[in-house]
Amino acid sequence: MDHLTNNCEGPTRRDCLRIGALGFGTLALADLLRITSYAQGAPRKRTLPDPSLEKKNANDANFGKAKSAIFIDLNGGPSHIDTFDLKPEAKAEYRGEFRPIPTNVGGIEICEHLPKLAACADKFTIIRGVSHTLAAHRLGSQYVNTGNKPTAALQYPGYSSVFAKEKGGAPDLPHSVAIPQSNQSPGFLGIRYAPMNTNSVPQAGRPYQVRGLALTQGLTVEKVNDRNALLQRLDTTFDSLKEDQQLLDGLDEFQQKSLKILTSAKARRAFDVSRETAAFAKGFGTTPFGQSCLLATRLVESGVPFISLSLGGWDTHQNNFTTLKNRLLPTLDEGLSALFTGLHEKGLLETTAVYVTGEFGRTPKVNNRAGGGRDHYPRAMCMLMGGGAVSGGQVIGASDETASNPLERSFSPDDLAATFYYNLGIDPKLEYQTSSGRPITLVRDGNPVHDIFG
Amino acid sequence: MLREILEKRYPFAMLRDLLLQAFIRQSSFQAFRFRFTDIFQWAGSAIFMIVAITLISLAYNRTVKNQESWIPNLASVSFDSGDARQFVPFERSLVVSDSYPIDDSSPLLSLSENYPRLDEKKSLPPVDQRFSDPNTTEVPDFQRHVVPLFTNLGCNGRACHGSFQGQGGLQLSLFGYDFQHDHDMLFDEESPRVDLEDPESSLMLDKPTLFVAHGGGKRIDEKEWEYRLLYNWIEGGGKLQKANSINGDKNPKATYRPQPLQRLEVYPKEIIAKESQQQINLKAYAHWPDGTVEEVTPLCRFQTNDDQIATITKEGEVTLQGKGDTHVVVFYDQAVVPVEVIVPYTDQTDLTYSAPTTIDRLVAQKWEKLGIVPSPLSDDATFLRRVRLDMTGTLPTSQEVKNFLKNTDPDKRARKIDELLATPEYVAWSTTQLCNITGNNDTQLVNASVIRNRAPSREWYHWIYQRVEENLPYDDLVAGIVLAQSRRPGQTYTEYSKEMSEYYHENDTDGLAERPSLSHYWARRNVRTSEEKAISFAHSFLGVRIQCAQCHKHPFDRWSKDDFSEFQKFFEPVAFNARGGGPGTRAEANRLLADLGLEGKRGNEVRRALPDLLREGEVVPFPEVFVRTPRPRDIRLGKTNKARLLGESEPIDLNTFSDPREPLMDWLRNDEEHLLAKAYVNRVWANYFGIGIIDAPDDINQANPPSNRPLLDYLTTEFIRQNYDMKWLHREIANSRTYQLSWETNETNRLDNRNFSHARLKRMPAEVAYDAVYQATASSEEVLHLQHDLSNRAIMIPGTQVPRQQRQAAYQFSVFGRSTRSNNCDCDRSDNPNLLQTIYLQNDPDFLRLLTDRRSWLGQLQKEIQAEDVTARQKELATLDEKIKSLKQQMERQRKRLATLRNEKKQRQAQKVQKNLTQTTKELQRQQQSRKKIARQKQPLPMTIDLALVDDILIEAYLRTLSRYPTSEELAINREHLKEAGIQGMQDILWALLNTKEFIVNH
Repeated sequence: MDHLTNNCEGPTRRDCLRIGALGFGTLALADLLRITSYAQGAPRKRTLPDPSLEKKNANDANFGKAKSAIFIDLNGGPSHIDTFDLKPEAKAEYRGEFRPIPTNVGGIEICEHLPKLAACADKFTIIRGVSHTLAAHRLGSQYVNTGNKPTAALQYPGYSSVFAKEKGGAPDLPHSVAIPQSNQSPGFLGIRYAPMNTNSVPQAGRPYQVRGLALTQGLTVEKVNDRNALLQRLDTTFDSLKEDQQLLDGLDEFQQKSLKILTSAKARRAFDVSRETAAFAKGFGTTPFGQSCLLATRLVESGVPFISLSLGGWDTHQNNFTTLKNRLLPTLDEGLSALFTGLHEKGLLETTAVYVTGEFGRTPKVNNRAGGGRDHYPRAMCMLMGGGAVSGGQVIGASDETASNPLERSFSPDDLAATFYYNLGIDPKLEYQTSSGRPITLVRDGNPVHDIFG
Repeated sequence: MLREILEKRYPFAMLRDLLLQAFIRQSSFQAFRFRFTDIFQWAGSAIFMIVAITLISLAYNRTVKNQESWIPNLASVSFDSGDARQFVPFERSLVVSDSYPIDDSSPLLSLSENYPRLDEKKSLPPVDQRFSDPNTTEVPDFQRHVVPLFTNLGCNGRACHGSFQGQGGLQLSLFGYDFQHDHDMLFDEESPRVDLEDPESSLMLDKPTLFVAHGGGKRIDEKEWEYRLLYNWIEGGGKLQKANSINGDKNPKATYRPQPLQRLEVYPKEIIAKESQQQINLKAYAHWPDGTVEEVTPLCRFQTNDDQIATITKEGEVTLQGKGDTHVVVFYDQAVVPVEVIVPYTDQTDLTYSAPTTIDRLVAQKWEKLGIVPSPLSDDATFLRRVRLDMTGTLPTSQEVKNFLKNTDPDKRARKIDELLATPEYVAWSTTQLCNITGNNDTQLVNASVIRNRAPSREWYHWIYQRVEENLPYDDLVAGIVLAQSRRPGQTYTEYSKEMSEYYHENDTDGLAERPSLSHYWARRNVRTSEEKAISFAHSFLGVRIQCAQCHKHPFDRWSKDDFSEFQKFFEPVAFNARGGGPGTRAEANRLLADLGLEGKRGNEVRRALPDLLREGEVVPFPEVFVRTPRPRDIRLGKTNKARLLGESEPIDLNTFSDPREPLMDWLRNDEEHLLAKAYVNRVWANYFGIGIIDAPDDINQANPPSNRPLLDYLTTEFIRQNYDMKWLHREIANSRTYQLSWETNETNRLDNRNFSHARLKRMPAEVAYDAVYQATASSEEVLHLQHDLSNRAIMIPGTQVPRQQRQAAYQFSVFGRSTRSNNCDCDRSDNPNLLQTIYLQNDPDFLRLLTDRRSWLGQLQKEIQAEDVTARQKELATLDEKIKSLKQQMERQRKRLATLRNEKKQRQAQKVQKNLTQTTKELQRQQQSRKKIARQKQPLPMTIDLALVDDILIEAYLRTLSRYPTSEELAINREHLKEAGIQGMQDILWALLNTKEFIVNH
């Protein structure tokens, strides 16, 4: 599924290649200035790359404050105007059915169906007025999962793979775990940096192990080591080919990794959520998402550097309000609030960057389908960030009175990706080379939003 | 004329054409209008002549098998037919093709070194020249110039105005295909972008010049030709179409039809570079029906398919970046023209290479262009393993490997291929792959039969299985799916339900497979609408992703929204009723229900009751796939229902067919592009080589051309000529030398991944890996059994749900990426490795159990060794018993002797015997004790088995897993391991072999 397309939206990623060549990417500085001088409304903020950034990085206490990361993918595109960017003053066809409630931070209001998150709003920052143009699920998803507009020529790596490459992690733990799967591919970095999918989700109170990690049938750690030593001596047939073969490379990498994981008791314990105290686990509830959040905190505690979670079903073209109210918002509210407070209780929030986003927001104007729906809308979405250097209890950016456009300043997914990387101690302007030596900037078009760090 | 004469005189087509071109050059030179360009032309001709002469002399010196094979070295640029779709035999790639007008009656073009020179009287120079003149009064055409300029400037790209959410409320058609719509948008009453009164204040000009703020930045400059072109169009009235072409109709909108572009010619046709960083300018010429030919290079959209090999600017300038081959693609109006770019890896070719088959010859021609020396032929063991896995999805058994290696028949590979094509494994594996592309998915089939539990997917599988087994021509197999209806001709609904019920009563899957058609294809839940049916059909049988055209013109192919909407009409009358039959069968269905006592019951109750009634032997009403026939009234009134086949210009009246899929099937068999055959041939090829000639194999479009067009064309046309003989295709591919090459690369083909110059390593597909592990670890008895009974094989699992008795396969499938058959995409299957796969092979409970359970080879081995061990012990005990017995006898004798001696008072002798007796008693006790000890032993000690036996076992382990004999080094390592670990160490060795890359990779 890594490179092929299967819906109407699919091949249009190649369009973006064109756009990349002809569109905003090639905008010259002179043009830029001309735009801003002619602009009638507020200018779109564009920070130009700062050559001294790298130096600044090292001196900035915020750089690299987070040592691990949790990325939460809200697949389908959650409605921004019904969650974290409500417009109670807007006309009924915009504001929808939900009312805002105050949070534990003065002046910040979120949706009434997110009471638990409202009670811990000091632990995260809401970013409003995030704007992009890719209104298709797959493209939008690739965009927010990589921080780069997708192109046909190249598959950009997801955050988890970049983090795995740059920061590694404990040798006896997977460098990145996706519960149960992830939209992030390792792209041109190669499959060795692919996340490990658990393919299943723990059930509340039950012992949980990722299949195959437990040693059974009389196997001991020594035995596993012996066998692998023998394997290393026998597995030499393709040695001459290795350099050119991504397949062999990946197989080798996974081989070594799995040996280390299998012989580690720590790894087995890390996945077993039933070892968590009942008091701690209770807040996470019993939904698969809540249990995934619980597992994520446990994995962070054990030293897994990157965890991806997902909560899907946000594609509410119809019955937007009932779907959100009855199912999605309570699930998100419970799991995510428990995640933030749980990380905080364990003292991990200061070193764990949390990034929550869907691929886009939804049309501010309610459509007239059954139950009222909202359609894809990438122009003014919102995202959440917390942990690491992020200073919680803030709202950064804003949208206009109908949540249709960013107000005053807007952010691109590239900017947020740069912020996320910055928090994790990875220079967003880092340069990679593809297998053929082509230089690629990690986040070409984005810059960290430093206000998020307070 | 000249051409014919030359043809007779010069049997070598290439030489003929060289001379022909040279001659043309000379004749144009004779006209002798001495201009600057002519100097170049003359110089070009002279160079060409020199090159030609050099090559002619070379031709006689070189050892080549056929004249085509060295053509690619001749020149950097070649010409061929302008139509990308047309079959261009390779040997003509350097020649001016027949479709190209070169005779006197068509003096449109003459040739220069690289580009045709247009006769200025008949052709138009490009717009950037014409509109550079500040005083030009030319009014450009909306379709030919204005919209293409939008595309070239990027206005109608997806992120700007090309999407349905077009920026600033301006929504243009994506890449400009809907001229009416785009024109309407520009003249939108609420926010017009065009001001005919005052052209200069048109937003259409003010925005892209940044006179008014424009989110897309500055696109044009007032002083440039682009501005003038747009300005003149507005000043000229901003017409959608020039007045004279509207045929005097008063309402031009009503009759608006875009002018059909006849063709787009792009030069050069092919770029073969000798050095990197070379730059080449493409030139494109549009041919319109009114006879106009115009150079449209500045109005085209350009794209490269691999920017690591060549990049292309929006002016059509190609810059070569790295070694390898790709295409740059030119888009203008409806035309999509790919131009192959070849940057050779080296200047080497293998002149001694022999190409035994047509495939090999066609592939080698490409190698020559790329400077690739192919890898050598693989050895017999590698070949056997590879062909076994690719063709039959099955690992060879150890016995099969031994026999094959022993065989000295020089034709043994070809014979093996024939033998494999006759195996049930070939049938099963082919069937699984056909189930993948046709979408045999249990979840989608829940309503397809009365019995849900995997029955329909099983029926689907067996229906195909039977036809593959008979080797029914592929087009006939497809016809059985495309034209499928539940009822046989003339059958009533009751008869149909009765027939179906009886199959179920007798549990007769084979009988169901005998039915003429596979109606389940149309009963899936994910093909309810005609659009979904069209998309699924295009994926399964055409290898085309038509879904794009559902919403907008396919950005990389010629399919438009109209093409799609007129195509999906073929599927409108195809319907499925899960709760009964087609029109007019309600009474019959009700009668059947009444007989069952279910009349008037609610749908859900009926559905729950029917499976039990069927199992009890009742006749129950069955779901039906049927075709709605045209309404008699419509026919009487002469109403038409027009549909149009993809790529055809004339619509078909569906009211003249009782089943609209009949013309569809006819078209599948006869369309000039042979998409049915091409898609199949390409997919089978991809299965053998790990990459399609067109890749991805289900993404056939004009902008994604084959890596080797002559090869694909040969296989396609020959497959059709062989009457769609599937086994012919497999045989043809497997017998090629190309397929049998080694995976070991050399410096020239190390980086090649698309030209089949060495075997590509492929991870075994999920089902194959599952079966391979099972077979490699199974007892000899079980291995024998597996060859006769495939029922437990993973390649025989029909649908997407795994039967309970094979449930262990389900997890393995999910980790190894068996096709989910859910998305109309070949990418539903994944052959990439991941961490969980490694963990599975290292430590999964299911996997470890296979290594050692009672039916495993090691389990069997252990038993045998233990048995031997028991005999050895018994022998030992028997020896001891003998000894004890003889000692006892000895003692008896000694006692008697002692008594006698004492009686005889021979004291000294008696003492001596006494001493002996004591010794014997001690010896007896010792022997008895050791016997006790041996008899008490239950576990055999770690054994030292003799070397010959160890080697036999090790060899068997290698044959079972890697399908080859171990090397002496490998033997040594393993012996050493066994020396320490004893026979138990075999578990480690087998585990290690199954975890080698060599095992899981088909090489």
